[in-house]
Amino acid sequence: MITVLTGNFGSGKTEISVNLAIKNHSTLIDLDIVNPYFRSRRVKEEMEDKGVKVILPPPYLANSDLPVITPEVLGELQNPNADVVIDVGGDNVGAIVLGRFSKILEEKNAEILLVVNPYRPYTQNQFGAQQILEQIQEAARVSITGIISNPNLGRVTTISDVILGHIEVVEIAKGLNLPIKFISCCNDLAHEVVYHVNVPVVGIEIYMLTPWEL
Amino acid sequence: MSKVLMKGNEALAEAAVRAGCRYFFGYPITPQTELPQYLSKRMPEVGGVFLQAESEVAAINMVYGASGAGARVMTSSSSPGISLKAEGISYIAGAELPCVIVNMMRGGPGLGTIQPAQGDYFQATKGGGHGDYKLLVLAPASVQEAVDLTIEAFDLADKYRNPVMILGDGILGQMMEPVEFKLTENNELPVKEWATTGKKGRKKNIINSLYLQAEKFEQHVNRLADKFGEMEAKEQRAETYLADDAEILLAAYGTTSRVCRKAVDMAREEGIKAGLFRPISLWPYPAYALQQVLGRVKGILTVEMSLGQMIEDVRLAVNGKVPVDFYGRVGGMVPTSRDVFDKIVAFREVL
Repeated sequence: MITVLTGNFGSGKTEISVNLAIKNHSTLIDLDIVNPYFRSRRVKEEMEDKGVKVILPPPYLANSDLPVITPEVLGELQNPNADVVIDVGGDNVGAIVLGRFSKILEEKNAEILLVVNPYRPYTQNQFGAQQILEQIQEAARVSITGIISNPNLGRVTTISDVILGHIEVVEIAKGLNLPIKFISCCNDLAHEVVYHVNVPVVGIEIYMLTPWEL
Repeated sequence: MSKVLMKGNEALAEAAVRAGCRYFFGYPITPQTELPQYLSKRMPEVGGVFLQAESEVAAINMVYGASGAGARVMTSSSSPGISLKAEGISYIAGAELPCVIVNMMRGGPGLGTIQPAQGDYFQATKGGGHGDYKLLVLAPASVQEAVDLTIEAFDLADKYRNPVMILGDGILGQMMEPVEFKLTENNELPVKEWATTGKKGRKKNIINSLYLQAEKFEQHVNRLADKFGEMEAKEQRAETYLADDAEILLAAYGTTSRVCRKAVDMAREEGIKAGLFRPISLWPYPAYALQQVLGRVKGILTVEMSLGQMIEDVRLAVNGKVPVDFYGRVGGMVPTSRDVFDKIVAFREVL
């Protein structure tokens, strides 16, 4: 199973990718070529300790803001038993890297998911989401197959923020004619959120911590 | 929805738009590129101009031109880019033009690193460009504060006819926090009678920083100095945290102050009376506010992502009254709260 997470800048792709990879002990490919900070490579060792195979640019380039893709990426995708989560950079600029792999992603029936946080500028409504979806599809030469609902305001998110935000995402998904695969929220809200939504709930732990949270 | 989740860079850009800024000239550099990127989308929506110049030098001179014509204008960069802009910044201060300049610092010297740093404190507060000028320098510590200070920065720039710098670092630019934009669109901007808006019967306005007569230029520089004196008296800003009964006072700004605040909490849990002094204006340095909290302080620990730059202003402010120690990380490394806590414990031993 190959799952690709796309979406606009700061929609939550990295947190969700890291959590999915850890939950399923899958391989995580960090294809973020646009973000300088808060990338999944920051928690490489932690992920490896938890049974995740992490594919990254070599260490001497990992802190560069260069579009580096290692040959291992294609190798991993060609593996018949591939169980991979791909964390892609934000917007169409970040998604452009997927174009290189569009053919194999199609052959392997990869799930290409759009992460939507309605509290982010430019994905607060269907119009914005539609635009970003089209731009990503064009840049990446792939078709989005579903939505991840990720309504949050960062660390201070309340249960009502999640529920009200999810209602927006439901509308957005309806307009885009795409299924919501799951909703993600912090672990401590997840047990409550399940009572209010009718899609699967994935509780996540926050890995992209600021220096004062370490 | 009233609250949005934004990166510091994006929020700063939106704040500029809310403050009535309609012109942005810049050149991309990590870790501030989201700011121009956001404005490249946003400016056309509000009938503004976003222009990626051919270089930082070009961008800052476009700021000079737009400001001279009376526009609210902004540019942004990160450390090496600000060095390139330094000449233009001196010209803008010399010609008394208001503008807002954002520096999201990265590690230096040289091309350095794309990771966060605070090594441009001297450049921001003590010059950077040539001549006797000062920038008003504001250092936000959260995304919300970045928004509020940016909106205010445009007013301050207009009030003093002087460039204002927002000094952050890569962490502030890249991290995401919820923000609220309190102001509605500011449509009524102050009239700039000095701007080159077309003569139309009034006396000629000239924007200039060149004076061939020394006597006249001395008068000009002295007049600027009077203005800086007024800014020094009126624009000092600082915040304290648990400083009233503190025996060990941390001094830190921006991102580092967030790290220190947590370290203060850790120290308090261990029964150590620690507190935090956080300058919000770096120039003028809030010396008065610092002197006010010295009461029980036995020592000050300055924490920076540099080899020790703000510490000089701390020492000037306390003038030998208490010992001042230093802890810093450089090269893009960020101190953790645990590191600072350990340093507090060690510092207490020797006091």
